[in-house]
Amino acid sequence: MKEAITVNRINSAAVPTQDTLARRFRKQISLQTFVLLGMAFLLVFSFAPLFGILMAFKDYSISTGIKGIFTSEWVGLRYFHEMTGDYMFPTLVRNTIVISLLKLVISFPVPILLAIMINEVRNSILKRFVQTVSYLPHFISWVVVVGMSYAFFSTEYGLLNNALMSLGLIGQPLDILTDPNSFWGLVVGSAIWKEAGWWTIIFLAAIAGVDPMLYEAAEMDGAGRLKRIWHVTLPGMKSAIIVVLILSIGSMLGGGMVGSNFEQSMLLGNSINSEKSQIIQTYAFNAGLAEGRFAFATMIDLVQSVISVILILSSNFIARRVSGTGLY
Amino acid sequence: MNKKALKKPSILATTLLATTLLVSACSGNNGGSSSNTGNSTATPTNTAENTGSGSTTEPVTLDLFVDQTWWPLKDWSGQVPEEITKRTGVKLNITVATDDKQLPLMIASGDLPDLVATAAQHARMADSKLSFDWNGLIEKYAPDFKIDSENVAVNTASDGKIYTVRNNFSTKEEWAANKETALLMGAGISVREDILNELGNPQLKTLDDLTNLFQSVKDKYPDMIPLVLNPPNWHRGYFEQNFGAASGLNDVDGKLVHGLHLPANKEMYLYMNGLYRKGFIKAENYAYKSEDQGKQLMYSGKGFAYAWTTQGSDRLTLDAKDSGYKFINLPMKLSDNYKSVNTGVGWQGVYITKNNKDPEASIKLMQFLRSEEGQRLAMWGIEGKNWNMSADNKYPEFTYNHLDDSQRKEKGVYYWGLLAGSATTELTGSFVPGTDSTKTGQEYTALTTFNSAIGLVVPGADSQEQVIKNNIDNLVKNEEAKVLLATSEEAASKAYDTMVAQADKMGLGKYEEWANSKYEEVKKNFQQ
Repeated sequence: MKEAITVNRINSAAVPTQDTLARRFRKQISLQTFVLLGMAFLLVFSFAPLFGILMAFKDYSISTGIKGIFTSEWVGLRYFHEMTGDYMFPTLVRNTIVISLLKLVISFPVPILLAIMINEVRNSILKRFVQTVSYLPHFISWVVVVGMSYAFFSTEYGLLNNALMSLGLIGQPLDILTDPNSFWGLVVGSAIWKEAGWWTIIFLAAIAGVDPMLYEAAEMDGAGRLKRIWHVTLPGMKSAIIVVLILSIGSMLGGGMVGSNFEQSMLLGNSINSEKSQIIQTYAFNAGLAEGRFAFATMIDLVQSVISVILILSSNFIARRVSGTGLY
Repeated sequence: MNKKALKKPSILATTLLATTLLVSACSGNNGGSSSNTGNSTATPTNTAENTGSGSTTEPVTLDLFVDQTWWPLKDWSGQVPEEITKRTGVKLNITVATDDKQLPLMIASGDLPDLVATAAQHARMADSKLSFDWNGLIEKYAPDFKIDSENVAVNTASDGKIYTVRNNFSTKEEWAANKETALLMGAGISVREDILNELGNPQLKTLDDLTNLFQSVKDKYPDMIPLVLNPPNWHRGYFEQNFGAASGLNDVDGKLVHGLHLPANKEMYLYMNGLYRKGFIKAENYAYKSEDQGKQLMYSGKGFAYAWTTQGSDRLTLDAKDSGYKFINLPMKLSDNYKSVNTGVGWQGVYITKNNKDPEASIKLMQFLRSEEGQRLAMWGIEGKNWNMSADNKYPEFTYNHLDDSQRKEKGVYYWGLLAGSATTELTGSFVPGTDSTKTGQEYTALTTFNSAIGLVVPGADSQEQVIKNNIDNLVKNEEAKVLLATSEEAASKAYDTMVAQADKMGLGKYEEWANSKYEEVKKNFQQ
């Protein structure tokens, strides 16, 4: 490495040095390329399409194409009022927030606990087996998971109901898929089952970064297993936990780290549990996209994005205040 | 020196990667239109060659998107498509919708294929920016393609042009000529014949008789589900007919009234709620999203009755052939309030999109599919080989089982007839003297009155009425389960009233007002 730098120096000494910034850039070009690539990606896919937000305030019809976003008439906050005036709106907001909060509160600690538990397993075969089994569901698509949920929970042909009935534990099959009151539990439970193992990997990586000397020192001081977890492992994971937490809060309305609020509500939701399963995103899809009302759908999503931005800013602020660690 | 040499290619590689990613990202972004135009400029040379060197060369291949998730034919194969290609020089490359949002999204992205067959997006596709109007194409390429006045009245878009001619519509003359054999399809209920026999074939004259029938099934076969409803479409149909309350607009003494405002509609909901409370219908039935979930229960012998169509019995018997169950239809009329009105203005239409690479071949294909010869070929099969006219020249006699879906799929018959075939051609094709479906169909057709004007009261895309109508349809979808699954009659009645009150708040009255003015307007078209 040193040799390379000297070679570079000798090389660049021959060139007249005018702009140090350009020189530095040239020196770092292979690293800068990665950054530029990432920025280009953001520009093209995240910033460039932002002009589409205009649509939310315009009487836009898709047949006018992209040009129509600029040429169609302004309607101000008409769609905002239409959305807030909808009879479902309070229910939608409640469901979105409750499902997101439940997922955050219940599903966030699970991978942390799982990572600590896997870390404490001494038998490496068992350790690897548990890890593989727990993260495999991550690769199954939600459509398939929902199909599987019918196979397990259906009142007519579900495995669980059949088993419980034949054991005589229940007299009536459990309406897990259709009872509105079981919907929130169903989505949180299935999301944890599907994603917890996946997130465990990040926390295991954080644990792997903890200096083994610390454990030895703690042991010398007479700390038992639980004490070691509490005083060594957890502090070692702190920054990883906080970063994941902030990201989860930022994407909370989409379901946080376990995600998939939309897929779950769309696929597991039905006309019987709709009062608990309809969320803002499914509403945007049904009342907006499916009916071809793109301007309306844009407004619904815009409102949700504004809420998410507020959430991420405030969670970062609080995290910095409380722990000194933040995203920026 | 060595290291420097190594470094350079790596820089080169990363920049190369970066630029290719960037370029591909950019083209991906506005890909919809650019790759499309690329496509359509590339292929015309192809077709120009075809038409240039005479009609006997390679057939033109056009892309057709079918906006029906259940469409069983995934490619253009079988005797019938081959014959159509032979006659028209057109081959179709088929894409079947994976869900009902796909076409709206394709419209939005501008990424439409040559032809689109849809029943749900007429209002959107009948747009001069998306589709060619047939008037212009006919004038230019097929001056001998004539569309009769009734089809014109039914298919004219708000800008006065015709963008498609829908299938499944017939003129008064066609209906009159085929009234004994063109049997309408309505909602029906099919039941297991063996069990009905074991119960001693109880008489079925009233809705109370029906309730009693379900009760005796439940008593005698406690493991069976007395009534399974076809999940997405037909779950209320049979009851709507017998209570005389259609779910959309009803003509009451010349005025249009929405179903939610008819007292009979509430009675129907309460009756259906009663069926649930008595344990005849399972709650989970209302959560099923695909037809198969319901049908499986019938094939496996768990269900006694299946609410579907007037052709249900024969279709179920055929599909359940492994288990050997035989189904028969229940009588259509169980109440003096019975009412069925045919408001048909056609169902599916093929749109020739502005992305079409060969509009001439496309309109000529539609002309062929609309002709009597083309309709019969696509719908029934090859004359003399697959069917012959009956001795009285009223209906086709098939050499294969025309109702058997596996045979239809193998020959590629029937479904392509649904692109442009008239109602009477379609219906006479399913006429088989003496079957249970035929008996029920004749019963239903005799009970049905016609009113195409109602079918034309359809709000324009993006109009305020369209928004209200969609909102109300969504309301019913979301709320009706509360009525149907209420635990007491009072609760059901309350839930229903809440639903109607909500609909009123959403502008149901305004929608009815608009519907009536539109009704007056379109009624004139039919009087001419």
